[in-house]
Amino acid sequence: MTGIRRLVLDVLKPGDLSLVDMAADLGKLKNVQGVDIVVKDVDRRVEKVRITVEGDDLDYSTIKKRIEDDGASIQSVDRVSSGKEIIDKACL
Amino acid sequence: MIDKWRKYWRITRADEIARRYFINNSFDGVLTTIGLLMGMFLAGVANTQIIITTSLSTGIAIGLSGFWGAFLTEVAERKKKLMELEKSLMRNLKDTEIERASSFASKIVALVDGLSPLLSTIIVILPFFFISTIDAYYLAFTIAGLMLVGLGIFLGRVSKENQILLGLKMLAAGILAIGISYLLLN
Repeated sequence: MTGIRRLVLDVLKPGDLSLVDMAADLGKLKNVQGVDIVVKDVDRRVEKVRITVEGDDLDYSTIKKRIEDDGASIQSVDRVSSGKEIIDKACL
Repeated sequence: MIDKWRKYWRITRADEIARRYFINNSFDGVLTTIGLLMGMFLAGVANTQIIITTSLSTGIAIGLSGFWGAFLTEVAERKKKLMELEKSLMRNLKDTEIERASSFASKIVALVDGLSPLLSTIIVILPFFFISTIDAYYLAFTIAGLMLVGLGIFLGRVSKENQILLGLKMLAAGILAIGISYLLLN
């Protein structure tokens, strides 16, 4: 498979939006095979989370749109993997 | 669609406030109807049409007042919350799930607020549709009492407190309303 296979995003989301709903919404997107969300920081109204999306030929704009439609915002794209093989031990 | 509503329900935690409105306004509806019926009972009103029309229009007025008040309050409160959230997120939340959930919650909560007193009134006056006026009065007071106990039990289940005790506390308000009306008007 080609295209983007893994995306790691730093996201700021409303505290009231549950991680379960967010993960379920992302998991329903085309070509997405796995979603992982980890809370990094909790504020009074918002939460900072790290979202990892894996799949084949991921469409970044669709993922971005889904995240933003939920009311969250992408702060940064921390890691992108593409190609035939995911390099897990890539030097950062 | 149902999944979407469930999601909105979870985001806004509308269940808590809707439950509060439901109990509070059902209680209002029952007590107001008790007062109204007691007044007509003591005044010797035997015309079923007058009883039903007066009770229903009162129920509609309380329901409308509840709906209107709750809707405007909810919209204002949720707008404020949304604006604060926008500041924290540093983005506009227009046309997002959060905004849609907020709007959904305002409408549902207002509907609960408006329909609960109206439904309470309708249930209490149901006997007047079927049986003789004097029997209907007694049955309506009994139904009202049972509804108050039911609301207390529901409250007890929510707060995990003594359900019977809360039911009796609610019933006490109804008995008090009947007692005071009787003493003052009879």
